Amino acid sequence: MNQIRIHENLNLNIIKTGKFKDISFSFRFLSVTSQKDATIRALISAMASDRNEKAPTKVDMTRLSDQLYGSYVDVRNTGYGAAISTEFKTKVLNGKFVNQSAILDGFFDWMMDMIRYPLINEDTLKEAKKIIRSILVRSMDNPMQFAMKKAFEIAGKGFPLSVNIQGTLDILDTISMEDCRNYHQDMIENMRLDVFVVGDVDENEISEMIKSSFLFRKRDNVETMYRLDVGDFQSVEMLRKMDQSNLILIYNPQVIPSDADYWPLRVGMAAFGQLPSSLCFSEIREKRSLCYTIGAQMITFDGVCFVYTGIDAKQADTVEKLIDIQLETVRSGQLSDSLIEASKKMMINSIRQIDDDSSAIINYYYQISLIGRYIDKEAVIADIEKVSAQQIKTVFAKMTKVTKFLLKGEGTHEQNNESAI
Amino acid sequence: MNKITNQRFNETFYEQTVGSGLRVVVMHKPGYIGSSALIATPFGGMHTKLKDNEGNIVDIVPGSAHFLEHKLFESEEGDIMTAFTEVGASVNAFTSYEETVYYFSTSNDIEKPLNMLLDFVSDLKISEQSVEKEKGIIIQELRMYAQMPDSRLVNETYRSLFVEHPFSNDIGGSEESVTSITKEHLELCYRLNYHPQRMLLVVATGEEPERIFDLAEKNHSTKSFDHAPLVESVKVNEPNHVFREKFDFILDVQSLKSTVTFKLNHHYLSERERKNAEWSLRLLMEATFSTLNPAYQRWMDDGVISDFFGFEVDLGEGYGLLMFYNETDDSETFEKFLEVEISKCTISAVTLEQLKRRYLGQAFRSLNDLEDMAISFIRATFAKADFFDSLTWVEDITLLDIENVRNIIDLNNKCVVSIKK
Repeated sequence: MNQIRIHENLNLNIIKTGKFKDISFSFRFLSVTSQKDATIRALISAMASDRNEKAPTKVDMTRLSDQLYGSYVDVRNTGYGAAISTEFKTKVLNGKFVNQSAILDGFFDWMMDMIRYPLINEDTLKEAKKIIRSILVRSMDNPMQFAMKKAFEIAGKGFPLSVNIQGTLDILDTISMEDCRNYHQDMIENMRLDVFVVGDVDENEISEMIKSSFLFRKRDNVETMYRLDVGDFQSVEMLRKMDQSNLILIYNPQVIPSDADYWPLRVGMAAFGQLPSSLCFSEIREKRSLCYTIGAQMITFDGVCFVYTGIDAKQADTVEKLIDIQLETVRSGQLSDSLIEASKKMMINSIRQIDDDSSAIINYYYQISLIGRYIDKEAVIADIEKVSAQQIKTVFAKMTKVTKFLLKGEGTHEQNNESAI
Repeated sequence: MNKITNQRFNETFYEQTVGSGLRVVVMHKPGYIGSSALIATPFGGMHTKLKDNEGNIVDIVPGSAHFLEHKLFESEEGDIMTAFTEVGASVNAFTSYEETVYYFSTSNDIEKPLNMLLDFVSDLKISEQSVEKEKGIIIQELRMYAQMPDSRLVNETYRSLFVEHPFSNDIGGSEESVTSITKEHLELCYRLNYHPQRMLLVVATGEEPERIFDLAEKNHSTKSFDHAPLVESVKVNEPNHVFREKFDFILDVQSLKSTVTFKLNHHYLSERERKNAEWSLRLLMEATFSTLNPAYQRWMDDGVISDFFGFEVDLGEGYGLLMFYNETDDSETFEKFLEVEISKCTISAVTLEQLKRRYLGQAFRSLNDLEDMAISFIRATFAKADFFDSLTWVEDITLLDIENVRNIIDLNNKCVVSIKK
């Protein structure tokens, strides 16, 4: 990867490779997160991906996109702990496949118009509000997604973990056109910007294109990683008319990626609940048939972990106890060496496979740059290989269960297979 | 070894049939770090009646292909998923209506996981107890999908549209059908569908093709396979009418949705003819019911359609459908809107060329991902189509083709399915 620091907190990263049929571009603007900012960003994303000042109708936008063989700009927001990033991501077909070497020039102008001049007016804002409202309401209908959001709200109250990156209904109507315009201007001019380009490109040409498109001024950086306070344990239950129940358990080890025990935690989490051979999967699904879905994940920049599963309501207590037992197995150092080694192998496998997917390449290098701890993949792999059973035991001792959220199904079905711990 | 190169897409694949009768295809992707290997059988959720070489008709219990997919991961030597993680390979499987596919990806050496894939798919060893245990997991899976609004809406739509066709069953079957499946029935399904001569192995990799063929040949040369059963799926005589014209179901959701689906009765015999008609219809609908049409903005502003609105076209052997979906609590207005717009829909030569350009770009992009590419190859092969030809079928569509395909839409032959609170 060739990293070019164009100005303070304006970085261009070029990953030159000829193996993809297209060239990927990603522009990521970063700032401190808040629920209001997340809602404004959600609205800007909806408007920016729809139309811009140079192509003021959907028909114009579609025509331009199709001229570029179906290129489109995907604008999305992602939380990184205490910060939020708005990404403008797009791809263009490598011109050599369609005998159009100049395709990149037209594409670049189109892409920059999308980023710099989204059409923000009363009409587009009204439409964006309608779309964001629909998205928010729709997301409540996915039981697992809803359960996770609720659990994060409870566990992260007063912290960035509780921020819904898609925005919230109560703030949505208070956002004005001026709010969006001002925020967008601030984003383009002042916020930290990381640009990624993956594909068969001329590095000098791309570098000049980027330099001519953004102001040379100091941009603001923000902290991303933080440690969520360990509060009192909270258990919340909600009822819904459905057959299955969704159980979410949140743990707070207060470990962030810059910590020395981050990789021991990641390896331990893979063995605890991420792999198909993990303790949770094999003990709860495979041995006892208590669920179809079960997994564990980390919310990396907030320093917390969680387990999610879809189960029969009357088995909720049993499943929770079984998860506790698996956690205790890791805490007491009873993880098998073979499972630890398999976890390391799978993590290293995933890291190496990043090179075969342009979006994965961009996500990986962006996270690495936010963490600021590594320069290349081999250093990460070396740290994973060094993780010991004792380190995993030590870091899992810090795992405090802080929240239980059960979205309880009130359905009439009952599962036949009773299970004992 | 047969080498097939497509200059336009700059792609090469190699094929060879090994001694056991298994056809092996290597999609050679120089520069890629990882490898993906997929082995598939043309046995999926829609195959509920099979005919053997003696003319005997075998009734397959709905959900059997999917059940078998779960059970193949069991072995006497231990858990198969664990074995894959120990060699740093990620293994999984899926069942669609048309096929069952087992696959792994790895950035490590391919020899061990490839042998493991060929081994476990060649050997079904199940006990009655393990079959009973799996039922609990599958029932939880069915319940999970049943409470996801979009998945349930599509299932209920298929159930309304088809009278005899197996699309009226969920791929995973029902709780009742899953409960009735026995060890003997799964063994019968396995015997009929998992002979190497019936299967296809596709490996997308940067590895040298000769090595992959050697590994497959060596692996299968140590195995003995029974005489290959000649099996074909029994064609279903699906009536022209829909099973139920109107159907509402209740879910505890916030966002109400409807589908309006037209049953298409056609007489296209070959896959090529069907795909030509399917593309023609898709392009006509795209010209009308997308942002290409200036009226689309007004429909959104007036609330006739939401951002969720979309359509699907599917023309297969013995069936056809044109499905529209929308977020609405007024399915009647939605239905009338569609009838009016479909009856006047049209496409210009300029729009046709614009859309061809878009889909050509998509075809190139589909060759970036190893797994996606291999799955497309499997589907084209099972449908008796040429993979590279299938990527550019859209280019052959003419305005006359589009005009002709209109005739298969009967506005009176439809079903309307809605989620109610």
